[in-house]
Amino acid sequence: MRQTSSLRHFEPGRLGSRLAQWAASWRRVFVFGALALVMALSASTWDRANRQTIARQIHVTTWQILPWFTLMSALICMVLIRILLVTALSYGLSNFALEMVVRVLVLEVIPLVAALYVTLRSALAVSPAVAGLHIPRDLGYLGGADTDRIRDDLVPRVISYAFSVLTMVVVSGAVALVLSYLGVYGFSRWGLDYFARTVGQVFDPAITIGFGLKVLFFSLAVAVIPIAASLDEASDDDDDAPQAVQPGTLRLFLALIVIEGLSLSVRYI
Amino acid sequence: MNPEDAPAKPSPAPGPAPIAHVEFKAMLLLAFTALLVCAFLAYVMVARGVFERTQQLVLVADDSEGVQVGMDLTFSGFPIGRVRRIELDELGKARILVDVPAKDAHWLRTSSIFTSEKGLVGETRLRAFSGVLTDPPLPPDAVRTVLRGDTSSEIPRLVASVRSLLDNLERITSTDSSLNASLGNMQAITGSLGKGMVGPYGVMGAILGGDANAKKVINALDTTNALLAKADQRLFGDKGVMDETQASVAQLTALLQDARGSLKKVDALLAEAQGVAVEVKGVAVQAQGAASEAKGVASNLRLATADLGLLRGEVDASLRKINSMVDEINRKWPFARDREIKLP
Repeated sequence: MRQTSSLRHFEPGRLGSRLAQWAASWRRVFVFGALALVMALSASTWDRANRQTIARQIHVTTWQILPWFTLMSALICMVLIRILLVTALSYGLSNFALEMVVRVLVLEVIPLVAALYVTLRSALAVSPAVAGLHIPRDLGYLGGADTDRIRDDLVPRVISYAFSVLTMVVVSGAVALVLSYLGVYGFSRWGLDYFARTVGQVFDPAITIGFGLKVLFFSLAVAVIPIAASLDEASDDDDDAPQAVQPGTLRLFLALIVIEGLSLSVRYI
Repeated sequence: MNPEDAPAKPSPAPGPAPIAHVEFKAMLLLAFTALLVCAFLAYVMVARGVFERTQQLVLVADDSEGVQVGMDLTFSGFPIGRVRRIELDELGKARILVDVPAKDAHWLRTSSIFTSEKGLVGETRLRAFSGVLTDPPLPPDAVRTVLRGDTSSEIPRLVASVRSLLDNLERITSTDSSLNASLGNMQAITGSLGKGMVGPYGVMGAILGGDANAKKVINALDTTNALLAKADQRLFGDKGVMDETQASVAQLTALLQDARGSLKKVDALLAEAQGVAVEVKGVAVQAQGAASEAKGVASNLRLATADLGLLRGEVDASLRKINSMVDEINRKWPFARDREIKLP
C-alpha cells in the first residue's frame, strides 16, 4: 500500500501539478508582498486604529525582544571577534583583522541572524492568526471586506516584522562595531581615526547600497513569506495532510539563502 | 448572492490586553532606528572623507595591477590619501587619481617620491616618501610617476637565475664534464693505489710509476745508509777521526805545557838580564874606575844574549809544532767541511 502510494508520487502528471502549485504559491507570495507594500505606503492604512495596531505589533515583535537579541548578538560578536583577531594575529595579518571583523560580522552574520531570529520568534507564529481571517486564495479578486481585513490585520504584521529585522540589524551592527573597536584597541581613543578609515574603506558606496538592499530584502522576505504561506494553508481545504513544519518555513529559508548568495556573488565575484 | 451563502463572519475575538504608552514606545523605537541609520550613514561618509577639503594628486604608473579605488596612500605608515579613480591616459599608462586631505597635504613636497609595492602576501600599497620636508609643498593636481616594487615581478628573474644555476650544475655534473673527468682520474689513481697496496713496494710503487723505480729509491736509501754507517765508523768508531782528534788535542796540550815552560825560562832569563843591566848600570858608573872589569862584564853580557837567542829558537820551534798540529786537526775534522749528501 505504501509502495503504491510512493509510486504515485513520481507520476509525471502529479509532478507537473506539484510544480504548478509551487509556482502558484510563489506567485501568491509576490502578489501578497506587492499588495502589502502598496497598502503600507497608502495613507488610508495609517489611520488611528491601524497606527495603534502597528504600534502594538512593533511593541510585541521588536520592543520586547530587542534587549535579549542585542545581548545575545553581543555575546556572539565577542566570541567571533576574538576568534577572528586571534586567527589574524597568528597569521601575521593584524592589519586586516579589523576589516575582516567588520566584513564578517556587520555585513554577513548579523543580518542573517537577525532575520532568522525574527522568523523563529514572530513570523512563524502568525499562522493561527491568519487562519481565522478567511482571506480568499486568489488575491487578485478581493472584496472590500477582504481588503479591509488585510489592511487591518496583516499589513501591521508585515510592517512590524520588517521593522523588527531592520531595527535588530542596525542595533546589533552598531554594537558589533563598538565591540570590534574595543576588541582591537581596547579603551584607547587613539585608534578612532584608523577605525573610522577602515570602516570607511569597507563601506564604500557599492557595499553600502548592497548592504541596505540585502537588509531590505531580508525584511520583506521575513515579513511576507510566512503570512502568504499561512494564507495558502488556511484556504487549502483539499490537503488535510499534517504539516511537519510551519507553513512557509522552507520557502523563507530558501529565500534567505538566495538573497545571501546573490549578495555574496555581487560583492565578491 | 444569497446572504445565507456568505461565509459566516467570525465572532470578534476578545481584544488583546492594552499596552501602556504603546504608540510612544513604537515612535521611540522608530526614531531610535532612524537615528541609528542616519548616524551610521553620516559616520561612513565622514570616514570616507566626503566632507573633507582635498587636493588631487595624479600618479602615473606603467601598471595599475593591485591598485584599487578606495585604497590608501600612506606616508610613514599613516594614510594621508585615498585613491578615487583609476584611468588610462592617451599613452596607455595608468593614471591613479588620489584625493589628499588638505590637512595632510603638507607631508607631500615637490621632491616626494611615490612607490607602489606589491608583496607576495597582502594587497598593493601606495607609499609616499618625502626626504626634504623643507622643499616647496606639492601643488594641487600634480602629476608624479610611481616607482613600482613588485615582489612577484622579481620571481621570473629569480626563476631565470635559478634555471641558469641549474644548467651550470647540470653541465658540471654531466658525463662529459671536466669535473666528471677529474673524478674519473681520481678514481683511476685511487684504484691504482688500491692495486699498488698489494704489490711488494706498496703505495710507493704506485706513486713512482712502478716497482722498478721504487726499487731504485730503496737501493739509493740503502746505499746512503751504508755510507752513513761508514762515516759513523770513520768518525766515531775505534781509531776514528774523533779518537785521533782527541789524541791530537792531548798532544797539543803537552806542547802547550812545553811552551809554557819555555816561556817561564824566558821570563827568568829576562829577569836575569834585567838584573845584569842594573849591574851594568852600576858598573858603568864605576866604568872609569874598573875598565878591566868592563871587558869581563861585556863578555858575560854577550853570553847571556847568546842564551836568549837559543831560547827564542826553541819557542819558535814549539809554535811551529802547534801550528802544524792545528792544521792537521782542521784537515781531519769532518764537520768543518761541506759534507752534503744528496738523495737521488
